[in-house]
Amino acid sequence: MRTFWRRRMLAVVVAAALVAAACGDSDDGSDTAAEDASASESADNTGSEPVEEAGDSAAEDETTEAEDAGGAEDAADYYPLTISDSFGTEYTFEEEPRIGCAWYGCVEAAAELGVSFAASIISEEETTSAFYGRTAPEFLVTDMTNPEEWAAADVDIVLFSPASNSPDFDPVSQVVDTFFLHYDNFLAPQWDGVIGGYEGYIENLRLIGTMMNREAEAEAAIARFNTMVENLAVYATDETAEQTIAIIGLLGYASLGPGSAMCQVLNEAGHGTCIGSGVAEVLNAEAFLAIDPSLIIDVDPAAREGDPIWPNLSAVQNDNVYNFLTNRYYCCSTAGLIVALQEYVHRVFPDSGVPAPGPDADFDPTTSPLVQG
Amino acid sequence: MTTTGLRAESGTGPVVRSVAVAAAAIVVIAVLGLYSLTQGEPDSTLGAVLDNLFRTGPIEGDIDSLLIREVRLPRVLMALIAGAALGIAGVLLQDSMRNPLADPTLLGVAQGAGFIIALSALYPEVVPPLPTTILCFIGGTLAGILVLGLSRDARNPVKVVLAGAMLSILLGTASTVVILIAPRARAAGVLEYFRFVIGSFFDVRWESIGLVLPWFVIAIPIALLSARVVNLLQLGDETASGLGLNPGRARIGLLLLAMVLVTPYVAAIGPIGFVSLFAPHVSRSLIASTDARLVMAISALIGAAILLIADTAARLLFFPFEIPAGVFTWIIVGPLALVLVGRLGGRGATA
Repeated sequence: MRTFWRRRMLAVVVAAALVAAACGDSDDGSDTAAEDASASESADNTGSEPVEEAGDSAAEDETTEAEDAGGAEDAADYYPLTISDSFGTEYTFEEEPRIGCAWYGCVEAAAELGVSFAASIISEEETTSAFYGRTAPEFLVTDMTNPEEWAAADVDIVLFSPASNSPDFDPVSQVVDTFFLHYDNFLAPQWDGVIGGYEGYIENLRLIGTMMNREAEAEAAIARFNTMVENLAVYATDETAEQTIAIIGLLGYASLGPGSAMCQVLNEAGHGTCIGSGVAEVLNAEAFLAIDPSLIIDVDPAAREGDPIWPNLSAVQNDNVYNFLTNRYYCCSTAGLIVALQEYVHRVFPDSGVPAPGPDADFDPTTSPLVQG
Repeated sequence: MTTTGLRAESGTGPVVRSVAVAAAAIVVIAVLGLYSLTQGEPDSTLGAVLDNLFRTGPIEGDIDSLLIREVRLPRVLMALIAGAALGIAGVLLQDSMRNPLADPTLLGVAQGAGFIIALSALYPEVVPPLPTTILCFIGGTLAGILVLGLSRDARNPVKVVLAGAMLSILLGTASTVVILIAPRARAAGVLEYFRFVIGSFFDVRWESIGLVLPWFVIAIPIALLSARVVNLLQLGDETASGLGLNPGRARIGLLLLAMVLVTPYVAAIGPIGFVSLFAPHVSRSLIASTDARLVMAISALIGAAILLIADTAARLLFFPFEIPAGVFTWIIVGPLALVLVGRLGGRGATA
């Protein structure tokens, strides 16, 4: 009997020792499991396609550079953050959000900030999204009205142009928060409180920079843009200040109006006034001849072949027509405007020595000669 | 309808009414044409217009002459030619198909041209590098031939109508798919496509007239000569056969003729809607006859007047901005066409 109790005591002690040992192992094990889960989640977010991995890698490099430069604050100190969109709706983020982007404007603004989004509708094949290699998203959304795609991208919020504030996007807003930027296009904004023109582009830089803890980078990008406007003014003369400009291409004699971002910058830098009203209506050919702009920027010279009006325009007769390779002046960001205006200076002022911007994919707005102080 | 057709061929009433309507339409066209030629930026005097209409010398920097001869006159001529062709094509299709709602969309011509425009605008790498007008012509013609091939038995107009309607839906959907799957970087192509499908005279120049005029000169006399065949088809296939006509062959011939009339205009100005549907019905109402010889002539004049009104409004109503003429044909003719459908429904119920 005594032996029995002795054996039972020994068994309890051994069991207790095993439990203690097991508890110690258990702690270690749970840490490892958490790390595995984290790694797995990270791998899921990264995706398996080479482009996405490259995008992540690029984003990590950029993030590291930004942190080295002291741009980003410690996320723990920075968040929670409350921010309002262009319609005045407030959003609060407890931590850095996973952001989706549904238009060129935010893709390009993020590129200027050196960051990438978790999801985007702009694919790498779309060459008009400049500097894409730096901003490849983790998840490519093919239909921005499809809530399932945004849900699959696992984003916290999607950035939309205010033009997308329509019932078409109600299903998306059911699965994810939608945040409206300022107007990132060439037309006049039609909504109260929404800023248009290049000021809209600048505000979008600030909004995205604030949201992504990249305020310093946003201010640096805005400073680059302002430097570009100052540099552009160097080429202005009394003659350029008086000139009338037509920027045509997409539809016959539809010209960008003076309210477009490109025309605003040209005007502020002393390069004249764009014809037309605030938006890009199609001008009657006779009216275009009557206005007779002194400088024409055209991206569709094939459309002028055989046009009886064309040879009678002063700009044509004075060899003052410039066929741009880019259509970046239509929209959607300060970076896009830097591309367009570098081409403007390169072509209109060949003595300036400013090179052509080259392919969008290779263009870096931070190194453009126009943004150098 | 057949009894009305037979009644129409007897008596001088319809002829007298046709002459009166034709005279009125010619006056309207002449006044509106001269008005369109004088109005713009700057306006021109009637004397300058008349002078330029009969002068062929060089323009030499004369803005008045440039605008009248190189901008306004080609547009007026295109409106008249295209309107007349569409009006006649509508009569050919409605009478040969014995379907009051038949128009060129029935042949798939507009959708065929639209599909090839969508492809060339959004995926230029898959389309031969030809001028847009030629591509439209190819697309429209192929679609029309395909409709005839698919219907197999042209003796049965219902089959032709069904084949045309199905192919039109298919090509329209295919165009939509092309637009939807295109990369966003090619958004400008979408604008080009929509500009085409609405229909406009923005780019009408003498070259455009050169494209359509030969077809017009060839097809219009043939169409007028074929009016007797159209009248026989209105009597029904059995009666027409009894009178020595092969209805199947006749119908194929008339469909091809309508295609030749319509396709060049679709290529030049886009598929402007409603004119070929509406002009024949207005003509029949005004002259109280279904005699194709009379209806074709009046329908041509009314079609020409509708397009001239639409283009003049498109060019001048919101000057200095320009609206596609296709929008105005819908605005002008659309509501009237709805009334027409109501009247047709009433007749059908009575019958």
